[in-house]
Amino acid sequence: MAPESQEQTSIHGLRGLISKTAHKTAVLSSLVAALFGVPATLAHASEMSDINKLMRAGQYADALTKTDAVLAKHPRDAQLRFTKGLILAEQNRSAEAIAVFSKLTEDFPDLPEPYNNLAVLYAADGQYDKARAALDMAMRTNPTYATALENLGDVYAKLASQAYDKALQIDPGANVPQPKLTLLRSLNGNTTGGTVPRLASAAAAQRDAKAKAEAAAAEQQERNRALAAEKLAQQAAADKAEAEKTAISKATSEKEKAAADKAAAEKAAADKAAADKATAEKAAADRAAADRAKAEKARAEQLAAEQARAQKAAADKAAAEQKQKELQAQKDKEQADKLAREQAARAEKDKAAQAAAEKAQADKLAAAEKAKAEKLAAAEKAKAEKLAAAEKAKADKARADKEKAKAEASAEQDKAVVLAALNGWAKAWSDKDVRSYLGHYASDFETPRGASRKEWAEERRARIEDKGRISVKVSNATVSINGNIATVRYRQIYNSDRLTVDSRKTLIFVKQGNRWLIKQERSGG
Amino acid sequence: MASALQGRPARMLGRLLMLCLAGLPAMGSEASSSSIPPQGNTAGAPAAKPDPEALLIDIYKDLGANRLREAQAKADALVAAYPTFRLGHLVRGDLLLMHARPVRNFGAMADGPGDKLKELRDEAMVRIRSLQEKPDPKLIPKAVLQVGEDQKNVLVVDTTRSRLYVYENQGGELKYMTDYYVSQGRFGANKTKSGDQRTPIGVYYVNNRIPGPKLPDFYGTGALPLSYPNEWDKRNGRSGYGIWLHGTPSDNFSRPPLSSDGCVVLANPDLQSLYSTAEVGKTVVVISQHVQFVDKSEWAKQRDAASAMLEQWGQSLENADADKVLSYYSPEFRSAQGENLATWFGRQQKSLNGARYTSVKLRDVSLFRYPGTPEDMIVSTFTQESAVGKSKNAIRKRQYWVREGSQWKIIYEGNA
Repeated sequence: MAPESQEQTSIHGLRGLISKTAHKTAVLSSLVAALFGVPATLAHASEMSDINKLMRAGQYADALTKTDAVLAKHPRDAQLRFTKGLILAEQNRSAEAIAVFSKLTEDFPDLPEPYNNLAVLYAADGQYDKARAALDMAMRTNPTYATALENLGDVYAKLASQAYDKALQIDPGANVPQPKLTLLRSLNGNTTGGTVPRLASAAAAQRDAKAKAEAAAAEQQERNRALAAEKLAQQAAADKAEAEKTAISKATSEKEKAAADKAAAEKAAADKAAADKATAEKAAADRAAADRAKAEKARAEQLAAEQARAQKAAADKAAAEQKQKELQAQKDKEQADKLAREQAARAEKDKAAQAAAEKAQADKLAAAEKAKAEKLAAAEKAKAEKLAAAEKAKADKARADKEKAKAEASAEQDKAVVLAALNGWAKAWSDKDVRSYLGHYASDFETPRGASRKEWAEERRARIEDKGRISVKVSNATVSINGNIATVRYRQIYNSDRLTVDSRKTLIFVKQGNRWLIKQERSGG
Repeated sequence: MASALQGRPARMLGRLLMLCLAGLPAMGSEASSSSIPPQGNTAGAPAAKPDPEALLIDIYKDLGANRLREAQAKADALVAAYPTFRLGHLVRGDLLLMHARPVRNFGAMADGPGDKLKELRDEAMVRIRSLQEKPDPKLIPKAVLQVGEDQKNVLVVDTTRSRLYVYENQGGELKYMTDYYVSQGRFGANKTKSGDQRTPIGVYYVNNRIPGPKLPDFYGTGALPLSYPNEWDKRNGRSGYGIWLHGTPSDNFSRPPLSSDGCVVLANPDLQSLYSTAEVGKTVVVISQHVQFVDKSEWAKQRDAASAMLEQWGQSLENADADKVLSYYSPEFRSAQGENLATWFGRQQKSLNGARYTSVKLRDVSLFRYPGTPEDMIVSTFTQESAVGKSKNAIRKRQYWVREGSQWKIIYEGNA
């Protein structure tokens, strides 16, 4: 077989791939629509179907004319642009097709399909390095596949090394490191496995193999995690109990059960206020002045009877229980945010308890002087809540304003420091200095896939030490600073003995002490 | 997507293979089937194991054509059937490694032992080339001019190609049967002295058969010792001994092309096939550096010429004209004992006691063009039946003939 005809064969193979992709247009299009919820899709569904018909009939010129016409109305539409790329590819207008798919990857970096088609076109043109980079990006749109692919590569490399050992009669096991595969820490893919059974089963097989190899390690990690969770729960319970105790002991000295119940109610309300804080803050701040005036008036008018007091307490208790139930449900739902929120909630609780104690005292004074209607007392309570929230919001805002002003003042200077941090990080990575590399991450770095800090750090260590050579180059960096947060967008050229990736990246830095540390990593720019 | 993904790493190795395999697929399939050794025991042999070399070549062809999945399946099958075939493991390793990183050469292992890798790469290249240069079955090795009626087959070794070709004697005609990969001496061919780890070039006879159980594992399932050093080697002062055809150790299906101490080493199944048909004192092994092939009519012409040359010598013995007989001998003649022509011829005449041959007949004649000599040389082996009056005798003889000008002359003659 002459080399020429060989070349021919491989090109045909790739052509076939493009055609296959083209025939899947409908599937891919709906996927695009589903991912981006492009509202225009429904509007031009019939046009889309016309275009598909033309394509199936091989009338690419007409299909292109039609697509361009619809695109004029919806220039950003991913599905239409994707279709246009397919038509151009079918017409062998590779350069134009490449341009269309390239732009799509820029505008929709999370879509794997444009990267894939880009790779097919590059490969057909013999630009294999570019094809590989594009396919790599396609896999990276889904971190699960990217990890699985990397793991698969490691397993293949290990199998290859075993084959070489047999070929060269090398004693296996001698100085051959085991591959360090990466465990996924959470399930963010398709859990039903219904739509892509082939992938699902492949993933299951992969998982089985990995489970066997790392069963012990996984079990240990599971145990550690359970232990940590338990500890966290105990801590939370202790905190809660303490807060309640404080409130109760304060209230008891004045007025035993009624006040305690009320404090609990206040606390629940405060919890809720904290949960709703984001929205409540603004409204509360707006109304703060009016509320305060009203509260003053209400307090002056307060004359509560002993009996009314008791009735109100009973009502408060029922309300508190209801609120606590709701809060619990909400808490369960938002486990991911649990720790942060509880901290905030605890601070609020302390304040609320304080407020409640003061109020209980005021109530008692008022009760000794006057017996008034319970409705008034309830109003007073709500207002006091609002007051507490408003005061806090105001204080927060003032603090934030102050910090912001300060941050802006030193922003320009900080930009240089952030850039230095970015370069230091890239250098540590390139040098495979794992200690220094990890040192560039904030203690509250948002690890991908919800891994614990320790798991993540181990994974990074393994990945970096695994490579023979790493080079990370950073260019075109832009820094924008907002208070303690710096967002850096840049171009990253990663180069190892296994992989070359040229991509847009975003790093979120946070200032901790006098250092800028990485809080978040994102692909795309 | 998978094929595009895999296309890239395969490409570089693929290019290399395409160069190696260029222009041979038409012959390839034929060669694959014809290189399956003939089964010695035909007692309803079960579905035979795949021919490992044919499978290996198919894997390389798949690789060259970017059919990685097929190549992988065949590589898996190859090492399953021949777990000690190291080259099979090597190509399988390359196929697996392509999933992890680009593969640019046979045996792309990152930091493998260079010498061992080189040996395996050499074996791969030699095996691929042998397919490319597979002899046309209609052609005949130029060196084999005539085989005796008593010789079932003749073995021809090409040290450059690391190949042994088997030809069967079918009524005086030579028929190509099969060919095998062989290993030779660590330093190649042209053995001159003991311990030089080279394989001799020449025409040799199998002079023993040693079954596997009597041998250390290293020699495999059997050995066929050769007649090195022969008359010509001795005359040229070549020393050494123990040049055999033998098999491979149980843990190694095939050895690198240059790896023996001078022996010709075959995979055990191939050795067994030769062993079963080899006959002591009859089976000839012609070892040359580059086997040349000629078509049948050219071969017949050369055979007839050589045959006539010998016949004329035989007829000259029936005349009493000593000068006529002597004209067939070269001044460079030396006997096995080192006598010159005059001394040796005088002794011959004396033994006849003045009588003369009444008839001379030659039978079981074999004629080989001797490889590796700068000038043309032919070695003849035959049984000479002579009658002096009523007494008859038969003697097995060997002669070496060289061309002097337009004449062929005998420079050695002795008992065989």
